[in-house]
Amino acid sequence: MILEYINLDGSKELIDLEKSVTISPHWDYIQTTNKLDFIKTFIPKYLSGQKIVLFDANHKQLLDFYNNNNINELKSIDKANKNSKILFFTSGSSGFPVGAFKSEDNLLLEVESLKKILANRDIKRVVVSVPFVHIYGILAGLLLPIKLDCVTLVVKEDFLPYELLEEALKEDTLVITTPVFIKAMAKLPESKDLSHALFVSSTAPLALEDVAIFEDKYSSNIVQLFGSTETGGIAYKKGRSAEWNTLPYVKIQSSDDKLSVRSPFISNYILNSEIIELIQPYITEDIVEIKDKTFTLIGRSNKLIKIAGKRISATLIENILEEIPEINKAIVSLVYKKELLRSEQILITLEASGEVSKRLIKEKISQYYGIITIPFNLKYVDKINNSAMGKKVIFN
Amino acid sequence: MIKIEDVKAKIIEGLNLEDITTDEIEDDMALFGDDGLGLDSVDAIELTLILEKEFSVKITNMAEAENIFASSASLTEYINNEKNS
Repeated sequence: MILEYINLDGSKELIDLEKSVTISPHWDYIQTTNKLDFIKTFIPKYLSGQKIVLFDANHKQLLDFYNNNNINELKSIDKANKNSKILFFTSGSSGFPVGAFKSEDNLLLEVESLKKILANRDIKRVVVSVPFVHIYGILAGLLLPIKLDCVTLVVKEDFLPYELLEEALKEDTLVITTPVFIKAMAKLPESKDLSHALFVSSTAPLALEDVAIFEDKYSSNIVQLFGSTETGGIAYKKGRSAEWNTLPYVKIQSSDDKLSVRSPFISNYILNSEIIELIQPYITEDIVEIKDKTFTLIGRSNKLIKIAGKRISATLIENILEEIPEINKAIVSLVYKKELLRSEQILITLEASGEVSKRLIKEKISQYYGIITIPFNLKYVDKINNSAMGKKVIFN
Repeated sequence: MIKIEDVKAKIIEGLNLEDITTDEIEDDMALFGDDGLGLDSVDAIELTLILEKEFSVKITNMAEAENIFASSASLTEYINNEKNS
């Protein structure tokens, strides 16, 4: 596979990635936030069989955990080591990140499954606008292009909408991206014929309206993927459908209205303070209505907020904020702003003895979630009381 | 001639920075990074759309954007230069 790396000034470098390297039998953390350095390190190591740990280097809590605990010496690591190739980390429901071990079979079957849903498309170039530290970027952005064979991988550290549009204009292009870019491109004043390009989007569902505007404007198609780090991909949908279709090899059913999944992509082991074997079916927190092999998303069953694919615990953020001396009580809620690229925003309502800087709040949250782009606004109120049920209630 | 206060107001409105006023954004304050307003790469994308919609100014590449988006002063200067060219 050839990598076409676009520098900030628009100049391009062609890099051959298929070389083997010496590997160690131990887990190896790839610590870089630069996409070019990451790919040049990851692909040779992955193809040579190295076990790789991936997480956002800016995530202080995870970095501390990694530095204080030798993955290779964790209790029960021998069981998890069996066939494991990559250890991803995701934001767990408790707020502390959960590690998901992925075996060779987990990864290869999921890539095979993605290839099946893209069948009948002639793909010569794969343009990737997403980071590689998470499972979506690795699977769709690196392992799928390897599987497709004879494709050029096109990567840039950060794209602007016009830059992504220019790359998508080239023949037989698959674009691996997110709702932010789909919505941004839909807002550009000019339209182009992108009928030869296919867009894959994940991390958050797109509104049907945004899909319709994009597809009409560019005569192009969008495939959306749904899943999580632990489960891998669960479902996909093409175009304006409201229903999610299960990916090949995935079986679903309802468990008290929650989505219950059996799949060869689900991690066999997770690291959640200790290594735990996952028993299938895996029951997610997504409330769904199931019809045959399809489902419609209704909502989520707990106080978890999902922003740009990350699960954020509202309760945990409230607890973190209430550690700040000036803050007596905090309420975290999700606000949907349809007109913004990042539609999901957090509103933090505070009962505080004085003003608290956004920087301090950001620093506190980033200790638990890394430097993530959680857009939030602050609102101060006179009083937050607790109801008889223990629920926080705002008094102005 | 576009005034810097108008640009700041459009940044606040367009990025939904409800709890910030134009007075709190100093002219030379960095718009991106933790030492300034703290905007990120998604905000950069949103800013390009705001500029095109509100001021009919088009930014097509990130190299150009990095300099233009350095501060509200540099952004205002760019908008006015483009409008006069």
